[in-house]
Amino acid sequence: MMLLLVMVAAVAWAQAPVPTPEPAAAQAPPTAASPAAPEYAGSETCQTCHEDIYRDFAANAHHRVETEKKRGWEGRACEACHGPGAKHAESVEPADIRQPEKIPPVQADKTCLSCHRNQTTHVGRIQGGHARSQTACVSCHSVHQKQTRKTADDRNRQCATCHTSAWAEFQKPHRHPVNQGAMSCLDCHNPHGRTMIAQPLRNNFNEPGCLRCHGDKRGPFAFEHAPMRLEGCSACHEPHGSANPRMLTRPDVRFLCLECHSGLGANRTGVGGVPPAFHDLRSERYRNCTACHTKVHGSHVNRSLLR
Amino acid sequence: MKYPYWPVILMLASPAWAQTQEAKAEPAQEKTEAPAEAAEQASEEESPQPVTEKAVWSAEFGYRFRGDVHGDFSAYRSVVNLGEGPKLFHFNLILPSSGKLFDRLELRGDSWGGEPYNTSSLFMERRGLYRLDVRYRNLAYFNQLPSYSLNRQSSDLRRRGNDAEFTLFPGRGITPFFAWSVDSGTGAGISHFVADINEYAVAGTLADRTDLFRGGIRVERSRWHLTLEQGGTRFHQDDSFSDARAGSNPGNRSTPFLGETLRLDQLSQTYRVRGNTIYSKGLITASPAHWVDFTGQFLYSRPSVDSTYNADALGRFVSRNALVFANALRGMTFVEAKQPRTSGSASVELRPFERLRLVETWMTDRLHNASGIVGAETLPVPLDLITGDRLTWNWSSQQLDGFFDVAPWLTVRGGHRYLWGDASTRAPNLTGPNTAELKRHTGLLGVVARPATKLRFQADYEAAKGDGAQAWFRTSLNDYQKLRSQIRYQPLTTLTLHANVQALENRNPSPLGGYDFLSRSTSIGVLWAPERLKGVVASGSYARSTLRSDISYLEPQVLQPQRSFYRENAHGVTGLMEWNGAHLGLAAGGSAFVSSGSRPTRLYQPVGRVVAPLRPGVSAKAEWRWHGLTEPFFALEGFRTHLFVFSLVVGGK
Repeated sequence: MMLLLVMVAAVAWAQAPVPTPEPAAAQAPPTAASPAAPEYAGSETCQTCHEDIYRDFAANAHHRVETEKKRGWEGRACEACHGPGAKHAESVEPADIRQPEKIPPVQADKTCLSCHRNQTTHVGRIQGGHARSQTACVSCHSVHQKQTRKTADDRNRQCATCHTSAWAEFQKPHRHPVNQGAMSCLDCHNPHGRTMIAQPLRNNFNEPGCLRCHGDKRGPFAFEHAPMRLEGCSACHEPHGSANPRMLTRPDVRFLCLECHSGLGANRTGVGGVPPAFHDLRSERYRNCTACHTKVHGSHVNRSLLR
Repeated sequence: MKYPYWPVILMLASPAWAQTQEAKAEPAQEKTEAPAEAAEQASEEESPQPVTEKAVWSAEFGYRFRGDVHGDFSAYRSVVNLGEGPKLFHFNLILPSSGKLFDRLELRGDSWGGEPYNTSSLFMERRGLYRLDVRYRNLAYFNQLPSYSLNRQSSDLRRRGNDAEFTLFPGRGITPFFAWSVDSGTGAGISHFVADINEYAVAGTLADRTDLFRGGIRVERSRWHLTLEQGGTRFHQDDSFSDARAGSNPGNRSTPFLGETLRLDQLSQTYRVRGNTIYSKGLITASPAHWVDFTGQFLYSRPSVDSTYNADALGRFVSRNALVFANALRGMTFVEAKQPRTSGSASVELRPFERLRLVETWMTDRLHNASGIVGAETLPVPLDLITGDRLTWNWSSQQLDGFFDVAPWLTVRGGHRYLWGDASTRAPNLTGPNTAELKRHTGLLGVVARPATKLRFQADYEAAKGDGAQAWFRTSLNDYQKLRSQIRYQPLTTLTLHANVQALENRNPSPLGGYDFLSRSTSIGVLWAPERLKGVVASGSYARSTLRSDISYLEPQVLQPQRSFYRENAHGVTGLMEWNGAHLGLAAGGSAFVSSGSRPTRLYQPVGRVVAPLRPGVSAKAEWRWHGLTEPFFALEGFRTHLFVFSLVVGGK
């Protein structure tokens, strides 16, 4: 209820204008008190040479930087990211202008983050893999191009340009329908950051992202199968693709089960291996564990996961 | 067509438009030599207009022919599942501003007309006022593979997902949002009715649905951001299995068991599950000073489930332990399960010096699953069931990373991660809880190098030593090393090369034989658009992977140690060569996956395509695909077939 009140109050306050993002210190607009500050040329000057870019940029979300006074860069949107351009306009030398694609990613990202740092999508950015490997924002995002909403296929192809190994796994017979464009890499992965080591994307933050679609595996179950909670789905499945049916990590179900339920009490782990299997595997009917243990993801009814 | 003269008008108008462009281009070149004057002139010119000033639309529709499927049709449906018939392969509509209602409206859809995967989306926005984003998808899930059907489990389901999010005042400092998501599955399947050692395959219907409602508010300021969200889910599942074919169930035994012929004559088995969750979530990011960033997340959820199970079976059944026979089995169970869960994480990035960054991350996740079960069963021995079960799990992680810029083109990283936790579960047939602890120290190293603007290399390595380490399961990461490296090189503006190397080695030693796991993957990718061959684009990738797993287990019937081996040596190739000429477009390529080892597999999917523009905005397309799966160890699972698609692609502004 308290949250509801806060939300209602906030809606009333919502008409307040957006606070002007603090521009990167190196790019702050010059003031009269700083005569030595570099000079700005204005976007129209940029347009004279970079006509195509400017045309596309007009259909990009960043174009509002050009038109909205409150952001502090009205008429100078190009220089909001590229820095003062008067010198470059005069010399026409590439070296006289800041080019985010050609400077270290950490520095390039500072420009983007000067506006985008404090947004929901960037929660978890600090511990994300792309931040760790210094993959720049402009590696995936286009600041200039005219904007259309990307399809799942567009996104997948973009990810595949770097993640070729993952793309190869989707060529296996049993896989999620990423190749067909029915799913996007972003359905399971958050490229901006992560919240947990074990699962790249968490549904509502603390559930495996797989449960967004596989809701019948969510539970809670009266009788849980511990690996579902402790290790996640990838304990038994290869989510990108597998040569084994149902994307299992082994072709034979019994081996998959026996690797934990082996009865080897001497292993140093506590949860796996209990209970050990006592069935006679010489009998065909015991070689497929899930023939009887049908509810391997957890059962609402039976402790042995039989029904 | 409503406006049949559009293409003609466009054709006539385009030369005039082209002349205009050329006329503009010339002074632009001159202006580069005199920027000051250029600025003055440019200000007088008309500013470029956003592309969305005009409505843009496109669609592709046609017919797919499928050749005879040689081999197993169920395997074809399980892997490919593309059918024959008229299809709407794609449609897209972008409308420009309509005045007060929206600034932009985009409607898109793919693969309609009985396709296994179809999607659609609607996006509407009025800048500063609202944003509506709706997405729908319908996925077919068919699985009936001979190698897996030894346990006769199969399913033919449709999973439908619908996500709608409505945001108020996007782009402003405070944005309330409301969202509703639906995920549902319906269809038929074959499962098993199991009671004691009586086990029969039965057909049934499956239905489940999850509704997620959430709403909240995002506050974005220049130095901090806060998202508060309150949500809940409602879940129901209704599965029912039945068999009314007296004496004809395929699981019936023809041979007597202790002189009795066991059989299933009639069955009615139902699961009725109702669940709900409420959760509260908070996200925060803050940059109180230029040298520090902070992010944090917190979520508390409390899912609960009530379920009712009913089974009523007639036939001839046996209880293994009591050696009692009966003509009827009945069972009814009422269950309630709750799982309060608390999760949180916090990270801080400190930049004490320009070249140094320190990142400290802490995470925790804690859940407690408790359930109560009341029921009665005849198996066929009458049994009253009053019991409960529980699972507790506490897991935490702390990680410190340091990044140092040795040079503007070189950054090295070092760090340490510590995982710890405990779990407790009450295992079947044991009276006490089964507890386990997690404890693992991991060292982290990394390097990112950009020796040239067109060359980039990165590598990450982490290792954990097993001494004193504890893991949840025998196959969990224990004593392991992991390497990931990637190199990207762009020798020409038209040529980009990628290479990836990944390796994971994991061991879990044990006196009776431990667990050894090794996987390696190497892949390269290329994208080439030669300048001299205008319209030609070639892309491709090749991946080589090996996987080796050895683990010991006790053969249950003789209690002798045995080894479980799994091997996979795989090659994967994808490629596409495209040529888009003025009057014709050609494309050829496809993918292949070939593996040997425990389950040798060959999957070939070549493709060829011809596109012929008929008139402006209209082109004809013909496509051929071939799908072939071969598995030497599972010969019955192979299939091969041709697919032909003839379609028209239309579009305009």
